[in-house]
Amino acid sequence: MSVAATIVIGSNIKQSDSILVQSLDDDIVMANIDSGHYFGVDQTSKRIWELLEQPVTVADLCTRIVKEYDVEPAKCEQEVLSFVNELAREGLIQVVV
Amino acid sequence: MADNDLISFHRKLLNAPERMQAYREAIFKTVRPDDVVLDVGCGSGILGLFACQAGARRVYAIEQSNAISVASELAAANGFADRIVYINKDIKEVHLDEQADVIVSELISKGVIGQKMAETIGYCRDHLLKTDGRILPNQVELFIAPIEDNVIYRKTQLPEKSEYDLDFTPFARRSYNSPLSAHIPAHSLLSTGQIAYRYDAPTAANFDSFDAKLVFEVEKAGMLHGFCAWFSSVLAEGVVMSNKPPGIAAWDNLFLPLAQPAHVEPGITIELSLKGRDDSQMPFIWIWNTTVRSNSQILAEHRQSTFFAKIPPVSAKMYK
Repeated sequence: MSVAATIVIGSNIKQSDSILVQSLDDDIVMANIDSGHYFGVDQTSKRIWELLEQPVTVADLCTRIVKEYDVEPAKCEQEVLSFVNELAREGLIQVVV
Repeated sequence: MADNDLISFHRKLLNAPERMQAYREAIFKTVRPDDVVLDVGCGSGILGLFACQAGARRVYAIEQSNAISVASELAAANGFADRIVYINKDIKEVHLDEQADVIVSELISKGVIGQKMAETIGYCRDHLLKTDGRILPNQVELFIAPIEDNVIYRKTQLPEKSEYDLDFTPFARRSYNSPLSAHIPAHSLLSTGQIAYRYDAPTAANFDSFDAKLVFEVEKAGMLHGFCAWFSSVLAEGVVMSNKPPGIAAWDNLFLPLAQPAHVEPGITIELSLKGRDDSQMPFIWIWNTTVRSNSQILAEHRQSTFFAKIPPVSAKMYK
């Protein structure tokens, strides 16, 4: 497993093993002790975060979101890719090889 | 810190002979006549007073709290007021007309980290100290060992639901992720202590950070209740101050509880993944992940952190 440089639709990804995560009311808060940054995920993004608990491809992730939220597939793919790449840059998710 | 707590804290430090004698001896070994000394986080100002006794020409004593008033009074009472300059500012706002020969400080905590030592001393070293300057303490080591101590462990526990018909589980989770201060008897150790972190003042990065993977062979049977952390601080050559169990008058130990006690005996290993960080960006974060193993069989496994005990700062970046 390694930290993703760029995540594409076929990438298999999951939450990083090295970060700290806790639920706080309706939100999830995270800490990356190596970078010294705290993060929060609110209700909208929380579902994606939960789906990243186990390894999943971005394609499968989008399929689940489209099904659960009835959103347009192309737009969903674009937004999910943008979101998971930001999470990867912050070291919050990792690519599973 | 409230004024009353401040008085109590410094009174305790001044009444601790091991600490006072060690610092006095180290300062007399380190400070030379006519030296300029920087006393960082001076508190009651005792280190600056020792530096004057050792012959310092000038002491710059930096302190952000109200303790600086006490320090100033003590300097006057001892005839050193003309040699000590008190500065009530954050260290990063301090500009001096001359560079220091020596930095003295006691920015240490029971388990080494907790007072942003590396960040503060690193800043002083890089900006306010001569290139051939000396730093006291020069080196600090963090030791850790697994312990059995039910008396201390019980202090981390919350009432059972049956006692008041109330569920304290959410608080219990925060509680067992919160380290506790305690004097831990030496006989509580289940294995010999190991070094998890070594801070070297002349070369250290500007924040305290460690990531240690330790394996303890259990030396005697008992209940594993958690881990005891302590420091060993090299103040000067041949002068060491340590709060090794059971601690000293000024410094007790830091107890990292285990989420659930586990029976251990010789032949069992305790694997500890210990991470820590302490600076302005992320103060006092500990992670202690424990695996108790008998050969290849895992008997207990816990992931714990101070992060699970506290509410993160509002500066957290939110994803919406």
